Parts: sequence; structure tokens; C-alpha cells
Amino acid sequence: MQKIRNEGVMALKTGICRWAGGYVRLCVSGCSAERFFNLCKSARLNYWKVSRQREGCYFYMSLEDFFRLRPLLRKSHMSMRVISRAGLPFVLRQNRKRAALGAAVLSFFVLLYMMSLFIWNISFDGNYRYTRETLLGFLEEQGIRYGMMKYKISCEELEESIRTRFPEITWVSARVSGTRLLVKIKENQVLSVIPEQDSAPCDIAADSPGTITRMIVRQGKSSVRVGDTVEEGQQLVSGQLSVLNDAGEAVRTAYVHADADIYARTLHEYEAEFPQYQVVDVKTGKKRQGFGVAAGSFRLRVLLPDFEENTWNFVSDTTQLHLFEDFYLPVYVERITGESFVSYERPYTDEEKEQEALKVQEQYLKNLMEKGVQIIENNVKIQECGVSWKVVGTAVGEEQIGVKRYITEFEETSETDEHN
Amino acid sequence: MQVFSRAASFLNIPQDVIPGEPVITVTGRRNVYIENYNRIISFVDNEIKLQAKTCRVVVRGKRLEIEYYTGDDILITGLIHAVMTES
Repeated sequence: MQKIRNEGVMALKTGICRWAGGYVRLCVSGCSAERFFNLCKSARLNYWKVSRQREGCYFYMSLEDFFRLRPLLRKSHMSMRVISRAGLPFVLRQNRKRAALGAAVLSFFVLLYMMSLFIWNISFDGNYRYTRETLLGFLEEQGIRYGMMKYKISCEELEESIRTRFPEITWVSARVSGTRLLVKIKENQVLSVIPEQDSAPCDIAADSPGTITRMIVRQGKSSVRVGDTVEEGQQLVSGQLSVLNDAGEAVRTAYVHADADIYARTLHEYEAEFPQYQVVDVKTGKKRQGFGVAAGSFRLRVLLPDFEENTWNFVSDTTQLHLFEDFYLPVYVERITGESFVSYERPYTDEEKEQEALKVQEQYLKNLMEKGVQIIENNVKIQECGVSWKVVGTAVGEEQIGVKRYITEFEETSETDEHN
Repeated sequence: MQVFSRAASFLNIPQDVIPGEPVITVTGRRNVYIENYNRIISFVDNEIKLQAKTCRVVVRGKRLEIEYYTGDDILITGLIHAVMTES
């Protein structure tokens, strides 16, 4: 398989070389064709595809060797005629009057080469913690930006600076491929800094009112029980412990860092308003197609004309042009699709009102759940409120309610001499 | 040449490394590739005769063409009927 591939590549190379140098198809006739070909071989002339026909021998020969053929023909008493010509020298000769075309083709390739000297696309892969904008902003600080020359980028320095600036990034690979700067990142999955254990004396207080449903106290003295109703700010666990002597008297006060998980049933009320009338956009079914081209600050948009002066909603799909996978160009092509619509106001239907209320409820419950509240029950009502509708809802949930409250004032305790 | 041949046989050296021996490779019925030929003796549509250092190589077939040649090798294409050697 490899051999076949190599032979194919060789044949292609030979074909391209022959075309670039130019070649002719010839027909030689006479009585000693074999001698002629042996002379050609001796003179190391390059010919191929020799076929014998009634009129003579047909074969191809490179243009360079063709000009060395005459003495050999004379020697072997053969006559020759040119059947056809092919290759770049003949193409150039045929098109010598079309200099502008040649110049255009040449300038196209020159422009393409010049484009290939710059970075036209920066892509990141593997970034989860840091957004593309953050990383682009950092590259900008480092002087690496869209449209800069490729040779000015030092990938090693870039990798080093990214690792230094973002400690959570443990591995970076930056490389320039075509006109793209490809940055591959691997982030640390675990915390890079071990949080210091907080051991300062503190109490635990309720951060919202509720009824205690369960509690686990690891350190400190609990001030409430399961089933108690607590208010916001009420102490739940005390970090102040009295050390008793054998007689049951307090000899001193010890201050500890209270640690507990306290869950309570809490009530959340929410409300939202929306107008009685809503603006509805109805599509008329008319569409307009167009396209746009953007290169740097230049922007061109072509759209079919609108004679009726409708209101349009445009959506454009932009793509950066690229010749190959990694050869991006600073040209963006956009496909624009416009849909005509008419806007008018109408009151909400009962079904729509319910949907609006449901939306408000879902959003609120979603926010609660993100905070760690487990929803037990919820109710929602829609009330008329002047020129608008009011959504009033309540949700009952179970959540952790304890927050630390550091002890700042310490009681002066007098040690009792147990020996007295 | 006989000396070279006998020496190669005695030393278990492949015969194709003996200088001047033609090496003929036939691929199906379409191609004959011949190395170490000297010159073309005759070339017609149905027969090509080549002179090598030690023998003549005759290729018979239909619509025979010389696809290419370099200084030492030649590729003959067409519908090959027979490849023979003559002294």
C-alpha cells in the first residue's frame, strides 16, 4: 500500500514537472525508428508513451529535449512533425496579451502569502473556569492580538505567562498553525489552595426565621431543640461553654468554635407584576434574504429592497472564511435572514396569565434550589392590581439556617482555687 | 559472465546482482518492466525486441507502447502475450 502511494506521488510529481517545463507530442516517420530511439537514449533525451502506428511512431518529449532532437533525426534519416503542445510555457505564450489577468492571478497569490503571515484566529480549548474573553484579555495584555504577525509570537513565553497568571491552569500548549493560534489548556480539578481551618470562637445564629426540623451539633452547646420556632438572628448553638467543678459550680468559661448543621422549615414569599396588556409580534410571512461581507472596518451588506416599509427582525449567521482547516482569513461572510412582523397590544388570556405566573414561580423556585433550599410545597395566586397583574406566591422549604457569629466580648472568669 | 554466475551460485548471492543480467518484472497482462537493457532492436505494434548484455528480450502482445524509459530501465504497456529471451 505504501509502495503504491509512493509511486502515485512520484507519478504526480513527474506530471507536474513535465507540465511546468512544457512538452510536445511528436510523430517520427522513416525506416529506422529503433535507431532513432536508441540515439535518444544515448543522448539521455526524455521521451515517453511511445506507440507505433501506420504513419510512424508517436511519442511525447519535453520541450527542453525537443530542441536537441534535430541532429539525431538527421543521423537516423527520420522526419518529424509536431502533433500537439502542452504545458506552462505554451499557456504563458498563448496568454501573453492578457497581462492583466496574469497580474491579477499573481497578486492573488501574493496577497494570500501576505495574509498567511498574520494571526487571524485565536482559539482556546479546555478552558472551563476561565472564559474565552478573560483569556483573550490576558493575551491582549501580553501584546498578542488578532491581526498581529506570526513571527512575533513566542509560544514558550506565552505558555509560561499563562501558567504564571492563572495558577489553576496546570498545563498549556500554544502553537501557531496556519493563521491560527491554538491554545490548549488543562485546568486543575481540585482546589489549589487548602482552606485554613477557622478556629476562632463563635456562636451559630439563625439567618432566617423557621421551625427546626433536624440538627447535628459537632461542637458547642445547642440553644434550641428540634421543633422550636426560631427568629432571624436568634442564637442556635452557643460557643460559650461553662466548665464545672465536682460540685457543679462554674469555674471558668471556655470559648469554642461552634460547629453544627441545623435545618429548618422556612417560608418564602414572593411577588411579581406584569402589565395587563402584552405586545405581540405576529409574523406576516414575508422574508428577505441577504448577505454581508466584513473585512476589518469595511462592511458591506446586500439585502433585497423593502417597498412596503414593514418592520423587520433580522438574524445574521456569520462565518469566518478559511481556505483550509487552519488557514483563516480576516474576512467574515454573513448570511442575513429577515422576517417581517406586525406588533400590537392585547390583554393576556387566562391561559397566558397562568403561564406567566408559572414562569415567575419556576424562576423563583430555581433560585431557591440553587441556594440549597429543598422545596416542600408552593402556592401561587394571580391578583388584579390596578393596570397590572400581580403574581403572589409562597414556598415552604427546608434549608440550612445557621451562620457564624464571632464572639468578640469575652467574660473575665476568676479561677476558683479548688484546694481551698 | 559465466564466472560471475558460478561465483554467485556458489556464494548464494541472488542472480540479479550479477552485472548486466536483465531483470524482467511482469505485472498481470498489462506491464513489463525491464531493467539492464542496452538498446531497442525492433519496435512494432505487436512485438518489441530489446538487446540486453547477455541476451535478447522479446515482448509479444497487442497495442504495445513504451510507457517510459530511463537510462537502464524501460516500461512496456499493452496486452502482453509473451515475454521471451533469445541468445
